[in-house]
Amino acid sequence: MIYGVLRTSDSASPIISGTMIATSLTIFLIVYGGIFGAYMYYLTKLIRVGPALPPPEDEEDMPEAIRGARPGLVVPAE
Amino acid sequence: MDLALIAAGTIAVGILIYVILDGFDLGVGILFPFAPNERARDTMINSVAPVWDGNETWLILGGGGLLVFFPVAYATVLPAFYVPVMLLLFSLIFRGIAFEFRHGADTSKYLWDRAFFGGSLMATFAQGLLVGGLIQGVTVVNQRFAGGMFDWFSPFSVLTGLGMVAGYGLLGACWLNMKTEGETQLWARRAAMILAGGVLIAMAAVSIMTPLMRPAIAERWFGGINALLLAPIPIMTALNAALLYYGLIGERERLPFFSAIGLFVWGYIGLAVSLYPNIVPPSLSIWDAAAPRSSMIFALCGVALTLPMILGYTYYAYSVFKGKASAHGGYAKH
Repeated sequence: MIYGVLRTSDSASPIISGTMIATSLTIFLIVYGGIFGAYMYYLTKLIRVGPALPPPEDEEDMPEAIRGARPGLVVPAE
Repeated sequence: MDLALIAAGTIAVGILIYVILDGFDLGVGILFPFAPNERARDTMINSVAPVWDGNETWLILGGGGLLVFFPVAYATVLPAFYVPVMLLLFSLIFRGIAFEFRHGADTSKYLWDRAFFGGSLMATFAQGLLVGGLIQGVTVVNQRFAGGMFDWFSPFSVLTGLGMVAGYGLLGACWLNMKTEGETQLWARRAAMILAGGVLIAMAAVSIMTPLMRPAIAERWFGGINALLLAPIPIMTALNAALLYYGLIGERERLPFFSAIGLFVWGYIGLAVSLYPNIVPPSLSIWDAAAPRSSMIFALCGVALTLPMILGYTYYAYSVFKGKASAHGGYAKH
């Protein structure tokens, strides 16, 4: 862990068993895998729908907040 | 100056700010399925959407501060509470992504609603388990955790867990009373009245059980003239509770929220009085757990630089989003 000072095996917790760590690691993998699945589903859905057509009126009239889904993530005007 | 004391104070204040700020947005999540309608739910999520992730920064300050300033406390508390800490982490993952995915979902919206509620509820309960487990005490031998994996589990820690759920629910309800209008506000006010009852019962039960469980804490509160010196804490708590109900019945908008915060602050001060100077009760003090002087000074300089910035942008974020929240804008469908 620290070169020349502390070996990894000496720094490991004596209380937390390997099974505990394996369990939480497995849950992490399942949870993040699930989130990635949901993300891919949402991504393909967005691609299928395609981009929204630009509004007919000039964009200056449009309040910034409507163009971006989230404050701070405003989509720049063309 | 006593560096350990300064560091402990910094972490204590950071955790208190976390409890208050993330408390109300977790509370909004706990109340989520009980909202009167879908429009109310959209408004609720919009009321916390701009600030919830900033609120959780303070948890990182607490955890990071513990590692840097009190490595022994970090190395004993985390193994002792491995299960509740993992529960807290997984719950926060589900709750955090629910904000983003709920916004984009059509048919699966109900799933993200459940993730938001379940994550908020379990994260809060896990925090209550941690508080209860700490008051009970952690078995530390030679500066190492020497207890079992499930030492934290007891009727007492389940009580503090439920008390935490009621408490964050109360903060959330008072926040919504301030940030919403009409039907949602009426509902939030009613919810706050019920939850405040639960919080007061839980606070009273913990205050009675703690000195009974730990004689040292009983001595701290009732030994000599301490009972007289510490009397302002229960008195102020009772006054705050009265102020909370006065504000709710009088249909005030801000008073209930700030009274609910006051309730948390006095409860927190009471807890600090009980546990001081131990960082890991019952025996590990802040001086036993403190890092070497050089790393303390280095890290305190970092805190002195970043803390004003965090406080500044937090204030700015809240002032930008002040006023009533609506079902539109923010995360809602346009």
